[in-house]
Amino acid sequence: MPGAPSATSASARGFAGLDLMLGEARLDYGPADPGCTLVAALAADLSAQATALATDWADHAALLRDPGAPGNTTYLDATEATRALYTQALAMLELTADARLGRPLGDIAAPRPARAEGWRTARSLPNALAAARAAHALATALSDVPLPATDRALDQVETAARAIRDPAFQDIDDPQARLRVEILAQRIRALRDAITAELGGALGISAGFNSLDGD
Amino acid sequence: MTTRRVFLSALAAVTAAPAIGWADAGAPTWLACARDADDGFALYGLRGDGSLAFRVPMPARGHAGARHPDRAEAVVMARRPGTYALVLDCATGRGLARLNPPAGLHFNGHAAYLAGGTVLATAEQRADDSIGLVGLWDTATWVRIGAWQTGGLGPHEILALPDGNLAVANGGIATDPTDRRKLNLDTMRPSLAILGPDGDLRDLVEWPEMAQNSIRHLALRADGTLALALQWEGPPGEVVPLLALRARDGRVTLADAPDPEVLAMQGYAGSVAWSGDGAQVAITSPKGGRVQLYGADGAFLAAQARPDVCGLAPLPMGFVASCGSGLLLSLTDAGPQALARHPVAWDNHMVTV
Repeated sequence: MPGAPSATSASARGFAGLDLMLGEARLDYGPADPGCTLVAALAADLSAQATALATDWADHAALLRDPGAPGNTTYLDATEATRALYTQALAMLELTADARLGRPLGDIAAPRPARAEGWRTARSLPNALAAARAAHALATALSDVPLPATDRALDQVETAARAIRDPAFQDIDDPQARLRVEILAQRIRALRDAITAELGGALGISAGFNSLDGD
Repeated sequence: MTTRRVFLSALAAVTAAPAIGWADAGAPTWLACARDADDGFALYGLRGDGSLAFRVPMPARGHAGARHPDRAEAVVMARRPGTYALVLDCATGRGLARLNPPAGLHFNGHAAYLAGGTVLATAEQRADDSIGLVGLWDTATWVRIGAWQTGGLGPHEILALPDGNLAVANGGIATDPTDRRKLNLDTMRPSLAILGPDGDLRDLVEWPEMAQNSIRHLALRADGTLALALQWEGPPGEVVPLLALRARDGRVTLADAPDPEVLAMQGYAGSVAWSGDGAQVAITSPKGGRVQLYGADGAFLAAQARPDVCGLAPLPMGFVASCGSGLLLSLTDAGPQALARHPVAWDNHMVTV
């Protein structure tokens, strides 16, 4: 049934749904089972989402490339376009530290390894690392000059990631294993801070003056 | 002995043209506080086309102010807990007087002229218990002549009404005088107080059913309808109105917007204004990076995403908004358009002069 997964909850769609269907050891189904049909539908849905994203991105890229053009009310000038990309780099790192790593870490008394992203297929650490590398690459692309502090901060992220033994974070009940994931979260926040200081300063973009401190 | 060289340099100093020519360049339409690129604070006069009319350095971060009803004079208040207010010639930016709150009180960022401009009212609170006061100043001598109780804690914006009364947004929040920390969010009781010409309490709007919705900013329509901009201090993610309207007869309407629109504002409205024609009312959320437009009946009309937007002032058929990025944005039927961009971070409010 084409499009059927679109009607189901977001958590059962996309990679989270595939992680469950492909990685959950208790689910045992053959090519003729409904489970297999669902996996095929999930994959088709992901493909449709990716196609839609790519199409929309082409339209949006035109707006980014031509800020201030008549009718472009999204980006009124070049600084707004740059700021939008810069903000994405920071938001990606915040999401990674707070959600990808923060959610499974939970409270120190109650870690929640089952909240790790894609844990059944051991995607938790690779996804976090891919986000950090992508944010670094985006920051580098936005800068006209080298960003040595940002480069060092990514090295620190890579070092912290190599120390983690279970890429699915299923060992974080162990205080030592938990500490290694916490250190990775710290390093990812440090990467965000390095980009803020090094690139934000060079671009003349400061964090929200009004949004951070209301009245 | 004054040497020729010293004399000449002194002459140059007193006759030097200001960076921006004031006299021949036209008086400003708005005043707005900002943080400069060098992290200092200043007040700017802005013309209707977004260009700068003047810049006045400020001793500390400024907030909002008010224009005298007749004279080319305005007052600019420090950000709370404020220790100064600056009275200035709003055509040139020249300082006329500096006010300081009495010991034990601090300014809360907003002010209003009363009694035909003979009295300046300043929103204040007592430092040790956040009890709200309106300080009264003689605008001929700048001597403090008294104070009224506001009937609530932590008053923020105050606004003179056409009937001679004063509207006070009692935010309801007790704050630590040193670090602005909020102390009473579980027991807070915001209110809109209407004070008579003698400071007597004429009306009090309260909403115990959403007591954590702080009333902080006000805007007046020509017919006396007040728009109230709100800030939600309860659990994040709850769908609560951030705009309320109080008709002249006292009837209060809560604005209505679709749930995702409300949530996009992140529980925070930072400024409110009516359009010049009174047909629309707008609120800004720097936290949500969003401007929302409502009809005069409180029905949601449209929204614009704009990072760190906060200041808001009327245009004849729309609004002008100011952003932390330095952007001044016009919002009219023609859609959002950049009016100007300056290398400063515009602070919370724009004051129409």
